Order: sequence, then C-alpha cells, then structure tokens
Amino acid sequence: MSSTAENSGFDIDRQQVGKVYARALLGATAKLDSTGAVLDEFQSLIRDVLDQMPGFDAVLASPRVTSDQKLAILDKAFAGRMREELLVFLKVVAGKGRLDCLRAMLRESLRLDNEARGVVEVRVSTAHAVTRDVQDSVSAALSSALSSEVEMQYNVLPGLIGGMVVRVGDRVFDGSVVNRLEQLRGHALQGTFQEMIGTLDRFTASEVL
Amino acid sequence: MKFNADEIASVIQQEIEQYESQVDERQVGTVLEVGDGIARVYGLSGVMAGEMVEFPGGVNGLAFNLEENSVGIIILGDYLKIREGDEVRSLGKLLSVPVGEAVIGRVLDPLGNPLDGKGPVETSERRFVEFTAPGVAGRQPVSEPLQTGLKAIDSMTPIGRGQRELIIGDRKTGKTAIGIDTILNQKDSGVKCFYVAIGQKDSSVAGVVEALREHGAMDYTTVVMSGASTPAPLQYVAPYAGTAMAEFFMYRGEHALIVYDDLSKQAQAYRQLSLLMRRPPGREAYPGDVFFCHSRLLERSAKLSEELGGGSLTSLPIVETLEGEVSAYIPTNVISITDGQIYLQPDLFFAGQRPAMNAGISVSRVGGAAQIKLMKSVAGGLRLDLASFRELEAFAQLGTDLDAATQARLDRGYRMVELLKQGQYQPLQVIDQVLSIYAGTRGHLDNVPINEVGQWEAGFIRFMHDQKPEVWQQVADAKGLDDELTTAVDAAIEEFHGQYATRDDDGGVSQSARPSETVTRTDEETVKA
Repeated sequence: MSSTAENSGFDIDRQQVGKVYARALLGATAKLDSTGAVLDEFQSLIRDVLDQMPGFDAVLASPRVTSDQKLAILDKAFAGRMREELLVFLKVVAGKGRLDCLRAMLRESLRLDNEARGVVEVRVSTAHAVTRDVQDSVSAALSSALSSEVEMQYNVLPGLIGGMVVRVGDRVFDGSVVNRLEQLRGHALQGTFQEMIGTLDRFTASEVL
Repeated sequence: MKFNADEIASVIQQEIEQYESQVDERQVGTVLEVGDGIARVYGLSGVMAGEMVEFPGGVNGLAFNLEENSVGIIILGDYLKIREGDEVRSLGKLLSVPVGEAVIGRVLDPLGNPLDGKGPVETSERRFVEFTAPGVAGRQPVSEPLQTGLKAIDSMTPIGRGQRELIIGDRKTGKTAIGIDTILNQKDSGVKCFYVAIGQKDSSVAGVVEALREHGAMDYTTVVMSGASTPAPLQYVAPYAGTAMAEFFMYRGEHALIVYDDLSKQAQAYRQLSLLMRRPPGREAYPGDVFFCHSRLLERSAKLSEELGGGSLTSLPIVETLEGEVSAYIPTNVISITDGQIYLQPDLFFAGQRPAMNAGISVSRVGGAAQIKLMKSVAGGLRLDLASFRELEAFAQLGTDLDAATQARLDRGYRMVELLKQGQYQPLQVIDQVLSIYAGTRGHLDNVPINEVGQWEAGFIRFMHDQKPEVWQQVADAKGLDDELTTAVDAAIEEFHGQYATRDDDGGVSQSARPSETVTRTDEETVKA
C-alpha cells in the first residue's frame, strides 16, 4: 500500500525525462562494466548529499544559476571524490539544464538495472516489523513463486491489523486482516440485504397492501 | 414494517460462517491529480479502455484515456473525496446498470441508483451500459407505427417502431413537449418508455416527472436523470445507461421508446471531459469522436429480426439549436445519424401553431411504412399541400387581388393549419386523427370560421365517440378508404354540421369536450384572420 507522503512530488514528466537519461547512463556504464558501483554512488549522492543539504540541491536545480557556474560547482565539489563516469554524467545533465530531475533519473536507473538483471522489486507491508527469519522465508517463497530473483522492501503499516500485503509492480496480493474484514463486511451486507428483501416481500404482502 | 433483530443477526452470523477468506489480488495505481470529475492515475498498467476502477470510499470510475505514462479516469460520483496519492484498483469489469421490470416507474441516476426515495431497485439483472448495436442480420425494416398522438407528426412525419426521429429546434419551442406527449400516448400500447434528462434544470425534470405521474404515464415510464449540477462524466454516461435499460425490453421481444433530452448537452459534457483529458479539440472544440459518441448510441435503437424476438427500440433524440442554426456541428451530426427530423420553429410557436413543426423541412425517412393505411390515404398529400399553401400565403401578403380558386386554397390552408394545432398533454387516438384530418382535407371545414376550427374538431370527435360509435368502429376496422366508408363518414360529418350550427353559444357541444383547451385557444385566436 502506498502512502500519500511517498507519492507527493511525483511528476510524470520528470519521470519521462529521467527514463531517457537513465537509459543513457546505464548504456555508458555497461560498456565500462561499472553499473553497480556507479549506481551505488549515485544513490549515495542523493541520500547523503542532496537530501542532507537542501540548499545545495536548490542551487543545482535553480535556473538562475547558469550551467557554466553549475559545471564549476560540480568540478569543485566532486572532482576526484566521485567516479569519473558519474561526474561526466552529472556534467552532461547540468549542461542540458536537467539537474532538477536527478531523483527521477536515479529511480529509473535502478528500475531499468533491476529489469536488465531480471530482479523483481517486491514491497511487503505488514502490521508489525517482521523478524529476519520470516523475511528470509517470505523472500524465498516469493522468489520461487515469481521464478526470479527478488529485491525486498519491507514497511510497517499498523492499520493492516495483521497479515501481509505484497506488491509486485502494479499487482497487489492482499492478505491483510483489514482487507479480509472489509470483504467479510461487504459479503455479509450483500447476503443480509438479499435476505431482508425476501422478508420485505413477506411483510408487504400482508401489511402494506 | 417490523424487522426482527434476532432474525437479522442470525442471517449475518450465517453469512460470516459461510465466508471463505481468500487472498485478494488486485491491480493498483496511484492518483496523481484529481479535479473536475477526472483523475490522472499512475500505474494500473494492465487496465483496459472502458474498464471500471474503484477509488477508496467506493467511488467508481471508468478508464477513459490510456496514455504512455498515466491513465485518465472519469469519476462516476463524488470526486471531492478523492485525494492525491490514493490507491486506485481496477475491477476487471465494465459499467452496468440494473434493468428489468423493477426500473419501470422509477426515477434513477445514470448508475441506476434511485432518486425518488422509493427504496432500492429490486432486481438482480444488469446490462452493460456500453453495448454493441445489433448487426444487419439482426434487424428488419421498420414496419409498425409508433403513434405519437400528435396530428401534425402522425400525419406528415410518421414514426415507426425502431426508428430514430430527431426533434430539433431552438430553446422554448416545445421539443420536450413532443417527447412527453409521445410517452403519454403509449398508455395501454405496451410500449415501455424511458425519458433521459441530460444537463437540465432539476426543476424542469421534476415538472416532467410530475406531468407524467399526473397523466398516469409513470406506470410504464422510467426517468434517468443527470441534471445540470451532476458532474460531466455522469451526464456523458446517462444516455447509454438509459439505452441499456430500454434494450432489455427490446431483446425480450417487447417494444420500448426512449427520449434523450437533450443530446447537445451530452455532447457538451463529453467535450468538457475530452478537453480536460487533453484530447485534441476539433470543430467547435468538440473532440474528433463526438460523431461516434452519438452514432453508437443511436444505432442501438432498432427493430429486431423475428429470430431475435422482433422487439424494437424507438428513439427520439432532442437537439437544441442556437438561433435556428441547423448547420452547427452537433445538429448536422445527429441529423445525419437519425432517420428523419421534426424541426420546430420559434416564429410558428409564437404565432400559436403548436406543435410548432415546420412541415416543409421536417421529414421521416421511414415514411409510409410507419403509417396505418387509412392515415396514408387521408393525409397523403397533406405535406405538399401545406408547403404550397405557405408559398401562396407569402404571395397573398403582397396584397394583390386573388381569384376565387386561389382564395379557396388559401382558406383551406388556414383551416388545415388550425386543425393541426394541438394542446399539450392531449394526444389523440390515431382514428380520431384520421377523422379530423379527413374532415379538413376533404373540405368539410371550409364553411367553419377559422377561429372555430378547434372547437368544431373537438366537438366532432366527441360526437363520433358518443353518437356514432358504429361509424367510428367501422373506420377503426377499415383496411383502406373505400366508397362505403367515405359515405358513412361524410354522412356523420353532415349530421354533426347540423348539430354544430344549432349549438348554444356558451358551451354546447364542444366547450365541454375540451375543458383544458382554453389557454391554447386564446393564443391561437391571434393567428392571422
């Protein structure tokens, strides 16, 4: 189940741009066989630098800073501290004025990389945090059910009460207690409604007419 | 009414005991933006066009636009409760509405929910809102008449069962009145009627429902209502939903009539949706497929072949024009789809000619096949006569002296025009129509003063029912107009002439015959004398 906070700021147009650049990045790193390392660094750049320093992020995204200035900043900040491929990629992105789409590019790169490696992303939501053993058994079960390698993400949603919700792409397998209760409610309502209509006929036949 | 709490509790308990839980598998997406009755959703990668989806809180929607990165959904219900980030699930089914006898006599919204406070619609049968029209092999030519009860229409532009006849005209020219009168006239004919109100004021629809109820027409009529305050998606869906309900009877071998009031409003709702969905605008900003929107709707009206039960669905779409502009986009589209049109003109309306039908440009492409033989022989030349009368009338206004023959034709014309006037909610039986048109076209009215034609006609019909039921029956049984019949009718008319001449002026024969006629008659007396 997705939460509102996670999706706010999601922009289809940026996602589209991100896809194009992600394909280019993966193409470039595949030749040098450094995809894994570059993506790790890219992730760290977003998580450890841009997320921590919103001001820096804003400068990179701002159209008021010229691309020459951005190139200079990138050089000063990252030259020698970052893999060459990633720095060149960032410079190209800066030259095209697309540094505001970096997060979308990372998201798409990871997705495309997983797709290429045949790894399926699976998000598992539970009401309580699950132990390592359970995680392993869930992951093994899903891996055999989907007949591919799985990359698991766990999150805790107390609103589920119990059970588990597994999301693979756009498909959701919902075995949560809250969903079962909801289904039971609908089922009982429907059945009772039918029964009451039958009863109603009995009453209307004798009393109303 | 009493319910036993224990009984209900035991039913619920049974349901719970029988319930088998299963893991619920669904396909989901996430709301990116929502507003104006539409939502854009990310995900739902396997959803199909026209498939139903569900938002949290039970609000349903239809997949309308499948784009590269998102899905455009039209929301059927309250879109104000939907938030960005909400989960949307596809239901894997198409939109359907309840159908069957249970919908008769009800006022429903386009999803089949009751609006009349008479409790739930108790039926288990449902039909898809979008349904393919019967093919060539499944149809047969229109052959049975559908009587509207209006002299002007039944005599000059007859409508057959399974036909689509457009009612077109400016605002306030009596378009709805024709639809309502036609519904009223279906009493005891076994034709189930459906009135679909699209984008109209709730007060006008309430008026229509009240009129139908007052005249006993709600016993065989369903009103599908999506008023001006309903979101555009529901206005767009309403005619299809009404058609689905009517089709049920057609495929059961029965006859149904559906009035779409009006399709220009539906086209506007569809335009609104399409523009919000960023579909490219075309002429008058309507989307490219607005023609298909109407053609696939009206094609569902048909006369089915005998193998399919021979049922029929007749439709009377209504289109409103602006300043008589029939060459606008929607009017030309619907004119080209339908099997004829009844054109209503404001100047005729205000001159007191009601229904304000312009006989010259109103046509029924099904023609004589949809008329009883007798009417065909009585009213055969009526349209052309009226057209030539209009020409003559224009010429006579120049003030030139006219010869006796021309003057006689003019006088006959004035009387025919007068005879074709008819008050609202007063549909006439077809035999009565035949009798009065016979009297007019055969010159029996030539000596009746123009402003008394209405009175004379009402009195005559009453006379035929009360005093000459055998002649009336003879006409009703007749296969065609033969000498014997004409002699009998002529004799009856002569006899009535005698009675009419000696009537007392304060009422007599005709005043009592049509008590509610006074309003329309005062209007009509202003007509050129």
